[in-house]
Amino acid sequence: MRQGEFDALLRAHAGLLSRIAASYEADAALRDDLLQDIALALWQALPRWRGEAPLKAFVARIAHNRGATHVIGQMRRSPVGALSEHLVDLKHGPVEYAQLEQRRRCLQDAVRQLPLGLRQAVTLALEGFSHAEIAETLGIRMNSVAVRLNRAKGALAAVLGEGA
Amino acid sequence: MNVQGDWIRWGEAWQQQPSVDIDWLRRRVSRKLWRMRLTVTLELLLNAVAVWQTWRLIAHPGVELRWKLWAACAMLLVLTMQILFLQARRGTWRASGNDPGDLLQLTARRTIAGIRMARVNAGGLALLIVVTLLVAAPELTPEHWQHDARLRSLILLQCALNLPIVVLGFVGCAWYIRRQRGRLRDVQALLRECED
Repeated sequence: MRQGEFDALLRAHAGLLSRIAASYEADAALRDDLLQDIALALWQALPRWRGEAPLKAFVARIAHNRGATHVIGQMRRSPVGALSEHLVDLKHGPVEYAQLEQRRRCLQDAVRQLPLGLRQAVTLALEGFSHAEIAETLGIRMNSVAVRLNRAKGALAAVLGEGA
Repeated sequence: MNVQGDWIRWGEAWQQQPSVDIDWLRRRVSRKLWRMRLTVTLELLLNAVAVWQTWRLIAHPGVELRWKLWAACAMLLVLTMQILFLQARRGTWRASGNDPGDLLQLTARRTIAGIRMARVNAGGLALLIVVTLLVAAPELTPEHWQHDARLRSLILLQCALNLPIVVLGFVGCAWYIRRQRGRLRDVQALLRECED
């Protein structure tokens, strides 16, 4: 795989990768390490991608696989994780940014508190994947996706203080 | 708010998270790749040096037959260990391609393999010590070293150098096995979570 192609892939999926990493790790330094591991895994796995699944689903699957192994012995459930200095957001002003940041953090923390199986389905649903795509990415049946998302929704609403 | 509406609203908040600095990430990945390559190269190089040294002992005409046998045993041990290490690492070079459940099962199998490897390591070290003591037995009898100052200092030097390595080796293996058992418990718990 050429360096240019890899760079383009990273740029196209940077948001997805950083959000999946954030769903597995609250600690900023460990999240950076996880992101590196995910990027490395992608670099190694991409030559095997034959286009049978959409590239976004393939990238998400690799990221989740790496995230699942990262969870083993590494998971931190810090309620207030500092943002990485490598994360960039140039779209918003300071006040707007602070409000958005609070909402994101609440959601991130709520997602991180979910059991692994639910968390993986939820992060993909939040990324806009359909039930069929989630089932394909996680290697589970469609009705399992629906069950997981339903259970996760209740848990998320409870943590976020919203009526499910 | 309906079910779909919740997911859309949460999805919007979720996707507003800041992205990552790709140039930084690319640099870090590149460095990590080089480190991985360097580690394997160094390991192979060190083992090649060990094999070469044992071969020199075997080929040296002035060395006693029993020490040549010891060198042959040591060479066999180094080669076996290297093959086992490369086999164990083989899976880690490949990125995961299947679903997370499969990957967790693979991780569990690797963890079990790691425990076996640590046992093999400890066994190999014990075997090397036994073979070394058997081969060196004639020199280790008190009547030999009590009247030979040079032999005495050589034995003392060998003990001072090798004893910490041996102790560290066994302690390291025991620590690794304990850690891997804990990891295995975590993996199995995650597998149960995934199956729920």
